[in-house]
Amino acid sequence: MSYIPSVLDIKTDLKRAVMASFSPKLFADTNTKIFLANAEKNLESLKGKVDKSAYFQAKTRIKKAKNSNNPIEKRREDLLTVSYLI
Amino acid sequence: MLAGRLGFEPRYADPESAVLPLDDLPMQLEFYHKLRQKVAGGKITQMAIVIVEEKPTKEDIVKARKEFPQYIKITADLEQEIIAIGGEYHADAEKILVEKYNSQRSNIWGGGYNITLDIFEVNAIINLHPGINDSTDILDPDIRNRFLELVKKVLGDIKSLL
Repeated sequence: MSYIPSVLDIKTDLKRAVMASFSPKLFADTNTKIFLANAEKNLESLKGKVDKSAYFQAKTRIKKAKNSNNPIEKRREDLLTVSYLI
Repeated sequence: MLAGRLGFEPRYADPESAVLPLDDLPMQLEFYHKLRQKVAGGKITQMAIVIVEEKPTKEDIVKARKEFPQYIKITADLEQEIIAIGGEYHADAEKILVEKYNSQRSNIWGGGYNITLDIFEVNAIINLHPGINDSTDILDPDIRNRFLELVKKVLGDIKSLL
């Protein structure tokens, strides 16, 4: 039996990624990367179940959050925003 | 093609833009900056952020929904009872409150209105105040209640304006 992820799993991983990004290595921290990768993987697996516009908003926000040229605070807020958009 | 008053500067490093305009002189930049900020009827609109001191209009809500159609970010100065709605980041609204309304950062808290669920939320990165509030949620029940009371007082009729 395999585990079926839910929207709550994505929200949880995104919030954990935000919190992990407060470590000294910020977004380069291993925990941040793992939580973010999990959130992205689960978002993909729920593509058909999440509202279409929310899905694309989430993808755009995560992409912005992963861009190291953006300010760190805004990258965190992008992830938090995704957690309440989906 | 538009160019700054200083003409064009050739660039060879970036293949996508072989020629870029030089930066304009500060005076001209200020003109464009002012052009982006429209001040009308006591309400300051910058990007998609609207400052609401009394009650919002339908037009304000349309502007506030520009960035996220199903979610309106709310940034509030609890001391001065000023609310900023909309925008991409709470931090942008916080900046406006600090710079234009002399708000203290310790009095500014963030949240949002979830249109789909019709609920007010108290979740924002700007809520992180180390040693005072170590969460993106507003943990202190007093501050939380003050935030929600102010938001409901100003935006209580928001559903009818959507």
